[in-house]
Amino acid sequence: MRKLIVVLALCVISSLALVAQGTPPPDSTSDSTAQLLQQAHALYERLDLERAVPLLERVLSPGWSFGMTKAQRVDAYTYLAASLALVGSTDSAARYFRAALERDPFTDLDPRRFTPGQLAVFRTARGQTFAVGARQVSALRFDPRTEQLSFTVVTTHGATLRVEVRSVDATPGQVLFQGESDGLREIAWNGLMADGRLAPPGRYEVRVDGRSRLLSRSDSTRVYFDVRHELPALEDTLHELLLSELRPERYPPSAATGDLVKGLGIAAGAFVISGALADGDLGSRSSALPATVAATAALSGVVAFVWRRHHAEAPENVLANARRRQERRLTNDAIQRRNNARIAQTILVIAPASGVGP
Amino acid sequence: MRPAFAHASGLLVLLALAAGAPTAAGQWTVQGTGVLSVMRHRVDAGYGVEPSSGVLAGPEVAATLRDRLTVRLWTRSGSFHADGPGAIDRDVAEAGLQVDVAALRWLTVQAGTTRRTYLTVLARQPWTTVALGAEAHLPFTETGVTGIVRGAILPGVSVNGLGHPDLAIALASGMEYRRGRASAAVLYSLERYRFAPSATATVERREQLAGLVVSVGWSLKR
Repeated sequence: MRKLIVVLALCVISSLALVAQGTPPPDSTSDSTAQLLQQAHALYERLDLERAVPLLERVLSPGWSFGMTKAQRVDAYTYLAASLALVGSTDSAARYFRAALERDPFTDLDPRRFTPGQLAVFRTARGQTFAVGARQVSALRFDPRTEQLSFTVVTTHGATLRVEVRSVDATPGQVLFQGESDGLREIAWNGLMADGRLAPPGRYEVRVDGRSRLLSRSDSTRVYFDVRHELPALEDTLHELLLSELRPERYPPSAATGDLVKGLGIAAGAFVISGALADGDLGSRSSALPATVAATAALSGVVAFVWRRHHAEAPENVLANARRRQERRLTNDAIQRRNNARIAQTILVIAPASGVGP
Repeated sequence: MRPAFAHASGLLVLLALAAGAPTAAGQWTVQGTGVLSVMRHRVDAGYGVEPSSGVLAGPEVAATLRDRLTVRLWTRSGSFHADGPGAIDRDVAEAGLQVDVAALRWLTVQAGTTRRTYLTVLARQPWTTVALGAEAHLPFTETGVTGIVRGAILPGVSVNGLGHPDLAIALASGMEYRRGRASAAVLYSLERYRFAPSATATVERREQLAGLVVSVGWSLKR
């Protein structure tokens, strides 16, 4: 009795632990579909078609309440069609093959595993069905200078095909293929858009449009992927020169007055030195020599004042500003060149996406 | 070595270091200048004022590194003629070395030493001075026109037979004009000394050298 209690307690504890860890319970629905398909495959391989067909029909019936992926449904249709082809029900087989192709145009039969009769029915079904498909883009990174990205598209039979890659922001796309195609086709993309520039980062779509050559039918599909750029860090260009960073190209009215004051100040300085600062005990002061300097300075001040009043422009500042602008332009050109060299090394990082939006 | 020269040498080294020490890669500008001075000399050694005047002339060479450090060498000579009854004619010869360091865009700190000799029929009197001062530049809006005000104290003055002066100053004010490589300057310059009575000189001595200094220069890029 004690042992039983211990075992029960352990069971309860382990159950609680599982719940606490949030371990999801096994997906019984998908398991059921997978198990049934597995049984059907085994029966088909043993040519026990009388039991395999009902199983597959059960899976595909509207009453099948368990979850089923698109691949499982296509698989069920394919094996059901193959089974019916073996028992001679070619029309039904073709119908189910068509159902598989409509859901997945990439559906194909391996000639090593299926009989010529089954393959013949499948070809008939392909001729009666028109669908185009594009395989989801795989995550990868490639150097557009030396590598290309490959898209795989398919038509169930001969068709006029147009494959275009474009940004979902509705910018003009780049047509990668336009012409006749039948079956699988690999289409390469070098990462450039119609304008010859590298595809900017963002979300893109590969749009496939096809028009059957056998039937009056058209079909289209699209797959989405994200493009990201991987490149060395770029340098910032120098900002526009602000007014405060440039020299004034015209002198303010006070500049002329300033020149006059400087000239008169220098003149006064000469007189102060020869007068107040000289030794008065050493005889009479000569005023001719300081007056010469004072006159020169005062004249310079007056001439500068009059000249500046009539010529407020500052040509040396205009030149200095022009030089500065030129230096900035040359620096920015050099930065732009270096950045362009880095951009040329851009690696495109591709990631699959599920739709137009994130 | 006399103390005055020792002080001057030390000061020059300090100023050169403060300027960032010229390097071989630095860009030097060399300027040659001809200087003409019309000077008035006054001295009162206790026997009344002895006035004389004359013209001094000579060359100056200045080497400037990156607009920050200037080293200038000059020499000038001439004769002063007696202008009064107590005065006698004298010949004057002078050589000097000065270092200018740009402390601010408009202010230059200067230090230098001068060796000057007065030669009369009676005696030969050498002067050695060490000056420490500053020069303010007042640029006009017109490029190349600059007002100049200069002042210095002369903490080291060594004169044969005289003690240390209790007043020794040098002042100048004037204009400088530059156009391309050419330059010209007009300054009024004053040197003033006062020697208090001492063991070797029993009376106060006053001396002053003032005048108009005109210079014309030409700079060479190296």
